[in-house]
Amino acid sequence: MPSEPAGAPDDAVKNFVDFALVQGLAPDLTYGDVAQSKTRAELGISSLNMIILIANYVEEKTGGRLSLEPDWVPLLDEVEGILSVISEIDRSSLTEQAS
Amino acid sequence: MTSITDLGLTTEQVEFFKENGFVGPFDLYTPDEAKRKWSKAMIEMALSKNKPHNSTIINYDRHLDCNTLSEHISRPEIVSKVRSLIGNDIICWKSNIFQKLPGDIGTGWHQVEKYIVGETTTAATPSLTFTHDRSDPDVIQDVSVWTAFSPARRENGCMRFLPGSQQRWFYDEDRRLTKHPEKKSDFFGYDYSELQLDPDWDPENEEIVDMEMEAGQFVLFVEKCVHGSLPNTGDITRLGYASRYLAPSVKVYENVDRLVEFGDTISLDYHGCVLVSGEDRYGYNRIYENNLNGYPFKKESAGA
Repeated sequence: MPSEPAGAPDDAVKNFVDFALVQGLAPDLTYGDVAQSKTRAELGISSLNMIILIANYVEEKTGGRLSLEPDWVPLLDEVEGILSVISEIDRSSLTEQAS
Repeated sequence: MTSITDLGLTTEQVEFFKENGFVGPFDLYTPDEAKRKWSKAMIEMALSKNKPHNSTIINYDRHLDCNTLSEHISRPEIVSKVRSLIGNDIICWKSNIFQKLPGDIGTGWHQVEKYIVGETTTAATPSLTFTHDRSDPDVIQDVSVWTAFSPARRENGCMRFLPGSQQRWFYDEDRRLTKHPEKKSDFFGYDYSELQLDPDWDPENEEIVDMEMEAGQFVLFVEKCVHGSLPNTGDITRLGYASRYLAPSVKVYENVDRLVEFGDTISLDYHGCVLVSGEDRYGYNRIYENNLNGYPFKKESAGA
């Protein structure tokens, strides 16, 4: 498992890093890297690989009921934006499960 | 209703192009539309199951597998203006992405005609072979269209031109460019100034036009017009997409079966041109009617 930063990672960080590791698109990524980085480039993930990662994440979480929105793409250049997209997908997934 | 003929260049704009080697900018998309279209194209590129090649360094020809870009290259706002210059029969033979991250250096001055760059194209085997006389400046056979998908102002690294420079050669396109990893290079890993005919000539001393554009605008130019771009000193990524058009009388990659450029290699087995207007009366080039996903390319007819 990736090394923990000082505090426990929030759900979005944990979900993103764990999924990225399973996907093999960022094999050395840690929770700490995400907590300390501002940009996607600092995480060592190309823009196209980030799109693939998020597309796979949304597929896994929603079983294809939701797809990657073009409006999300500009957000994926910043760590804050990536985590907000992850949180939005998680929320949509939970809403669908509840309904 | 606006017809495609209304979208063409005025006589004055055609004259401006012939004199200066470029004309624009023109509006195509609103800034919001441009941003959204590029995001859609990015998703299509990333998730494409029909990539023309697997290189992530050589980013050519994604109009062949991204429906958004397939639609873009045939936009009537673009094609009608190219038609005003080349004539009714037009093929799109190439496209490429010009991304400039914050902090990236400018692109060095250069001029080309036959696209002899990289290691597989030479004077004997150029990318383009013009079968009609090139000496008549009034006969235009090639036009590039550079569309901004982000703001492209000076601080973002806008394109720049030396007006009128298409009227003579400042560089020897037939000479090979060599990689010099130890030297600072400002032409995608090469140093284009190696090809200068007069080593003492300084393009910075010439009249320069900085082509500032908003996202969604485009400019038309002839590749022989000396051009380059400024460094990106801003804090946003500059995104440009160039689509390149020819008269069908020009032979594309006639004796070239792969490209070795920027440290990567792609096979040209995938390559084909797109007839965006009129007819191909020559049959020199493979013409795709659909992109690699099966999406039909649009073709505009004059006066439609």
